[in-house]
Amino acid sequence: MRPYLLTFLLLMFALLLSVAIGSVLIAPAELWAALSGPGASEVVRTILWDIRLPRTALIALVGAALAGSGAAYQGWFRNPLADPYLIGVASGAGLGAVLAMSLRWPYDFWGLLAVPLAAFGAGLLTVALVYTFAQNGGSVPTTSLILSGVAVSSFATSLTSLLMLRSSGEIRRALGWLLGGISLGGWNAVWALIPFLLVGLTALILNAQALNLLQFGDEQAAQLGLNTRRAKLIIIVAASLVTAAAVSFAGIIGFIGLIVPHLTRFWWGADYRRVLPLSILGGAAILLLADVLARVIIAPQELPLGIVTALAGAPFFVWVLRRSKIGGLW
Amino acid sequence: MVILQVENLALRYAQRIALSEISLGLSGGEVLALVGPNGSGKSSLVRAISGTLIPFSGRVLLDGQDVQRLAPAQRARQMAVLPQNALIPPAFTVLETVLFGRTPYLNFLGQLSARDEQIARDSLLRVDALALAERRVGELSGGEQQRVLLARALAQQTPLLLLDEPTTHLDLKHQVNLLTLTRDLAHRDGLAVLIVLHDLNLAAQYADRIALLSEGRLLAIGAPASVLTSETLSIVYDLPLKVLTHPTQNHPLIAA
Repeated sequence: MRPYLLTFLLLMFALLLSVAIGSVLIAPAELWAALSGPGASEVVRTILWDIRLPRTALIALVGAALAGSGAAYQGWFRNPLADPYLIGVASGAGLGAVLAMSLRWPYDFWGLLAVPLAAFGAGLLTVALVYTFAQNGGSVPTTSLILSGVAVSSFATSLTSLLMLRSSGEIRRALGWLLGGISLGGWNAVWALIPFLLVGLTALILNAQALNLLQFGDEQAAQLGLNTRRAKLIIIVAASLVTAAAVSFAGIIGFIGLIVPHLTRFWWGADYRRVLPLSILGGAAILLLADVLARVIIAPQELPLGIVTALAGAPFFVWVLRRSKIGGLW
Repeated sequence: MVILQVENLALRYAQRIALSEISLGLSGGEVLALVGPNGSGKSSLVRAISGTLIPFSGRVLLDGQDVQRLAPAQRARQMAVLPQNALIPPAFTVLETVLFGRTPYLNFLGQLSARDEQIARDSLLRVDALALAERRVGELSGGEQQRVLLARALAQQTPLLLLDEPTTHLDLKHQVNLLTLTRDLAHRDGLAVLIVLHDLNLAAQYADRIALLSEGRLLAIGAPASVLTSETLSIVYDLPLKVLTHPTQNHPLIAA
C-alpha cells in the first residue's frame, strides 16, 4: 500500500500548494476559512472559488489523463518513449480541437462538447497514421515510432498554425491555449472533462492486465488467453479519448505522459495494475507542481504550462532514451 | 484419450504451401516429438495447432472442438505453448511472469488468488527455478528464461503442452532435465506433449512417438525405431546417416 499512500500524499501536497500559491498568497488559516464557510474576505473567496479551485481541478484532471494515457500508449506500442505528445496524438487532437474552435469557441455547452469530440476523432486518426507508418511486422521500433510521430505531428501542427492565422480574432487566445496552461471556462471545463476521463481511465484500468500480457507480444498474449484484438482496440481508443479530452481543455502539454509512468515503473515495478493507477494519481500531482512553478517563475506573469513540462521533460526524454538502449528497466 | 486431433491440415503463406495433408492424433500420457530439417514446417504446424495461424484447409480439434472456434481463454485452458524465440519483457519478476499463466482462470477484475500464487510456485519448483522467483527476468540467462516460460506454461494447467524447440538455449544438463520433466509430465501426470526437437537423438531417447516432417508433409509417424531409419533420414536430411542402437537403452542412435 505504501506506493499509493506516498503518491496520494504528494497529490494532497500539490493540491494545497496549487490552491494557496499565486499572485495573491492565501495563508492556510484563510484557506480553511474560505473553504468551510463565509469566514474569509470576499476577495479571497472569489479568488479561491472562481479562479484557483477550478484551475487546480482542471490541471489535476489533465495531469491524470496525460500520465494515464502515456502509460497505456507505452504498453500498447511496447515502447518506452510512447507519450501522447511524442507520438503526435496530442498535436493531432490539437488540430481537431482548433478546427472545432474555428467553428465554435468552447464557452457554451455545444462548444464544450464539440471540441473534445473533434479532438478525439483527429487524435485517433493520428495514432492510426503513426502506427501504420512506424510498424514493421507487428513490432514498432523506437526510431520509426519517434520519426513518424515527429512527421505526423509536424504536419498537424502546421495545419493548426494555418487555421489560426486565418481565424484572426482568436489567434492570441488559441496560441496561449496551444502552449498549455490556459483554463477556458472555469468550472464548466472541469465538468465537461470529467465524463471523458471517467470513461477512458476506467477502461484503461480494467485493461491493465491486458497491457501486461501484451508486453509478451500479440501471439503469446493470445496463447495466454487474451482476446488481443479486442483489448488493443479498447486500449487505444480509451487512451486517445483521454488524451483528446485533456488537449481540448488545456492545450498541448508534453512529457507528463513520459515522466510520470517512468518514475512509477522505476520505483514500483512494471506491473500495469500498479503503473496505471499510480501514474494517474502521480500525473495529477506532478502537473499541479509544474503549474505552481509556471505561476511563480516569472511572477506576476505566468509561463505557459507546456513550456515548464518541456523544460523538465526534454532532458528526461534523453535519459529514458539512454536507459532503453542499455536495456535496464524496460 | 485423444486430446489433439489434426485433420488433413494445409497451410499457405501467400502462394507458398507451408503444410499439406497433415493428420495426426495425440493422447494424454504421450510425448510426440516433431522432427525435420530447417524449413520443413515444424514451427508452422505448432502455430497452426495453437490457433495463431489459420488453416487453408483441414482443422485442428482440441478435445473434439475446432481450435479456430474457441475463445482465447478457452484455448488457453486446453493448451499451453512454449514458443520459439519468445519475446520476454525483462522488467517483470519471475513470479509475475509465471503468474501470467493463470490468465485464463482470472475473473473479470483480474485478481489473483492465493491458490494462483501457490500454483505458480509449484510450477517454478518443477522446473527447478523457485529460487529465482523474486528476480527480474531480464537478469536471467537464456536457459533460465526458458525454464521460467516452461513454468508459465505449466501454471496454465492444461491437458496439452506444445513446446517449440525448448532445448535451444539449454546446456546438456538442462536439456536432459527438461526432457526428463517433459516425459514425467506425460507419463506420470497424463499430459499430452507435442515437442519440436532439432536433435534426433534426444527425440529418439525421450519421445514415445516421432513425427517426421519434410517440406511441409508428414513423411512418417510412429515409434522412434520405425520412423528413424537410415534410408528415410538420409533422404530427408540429404546426408548419409547411420542408425545404430543405443548400447544400454535400446533406442535408435543417429550418427553421420
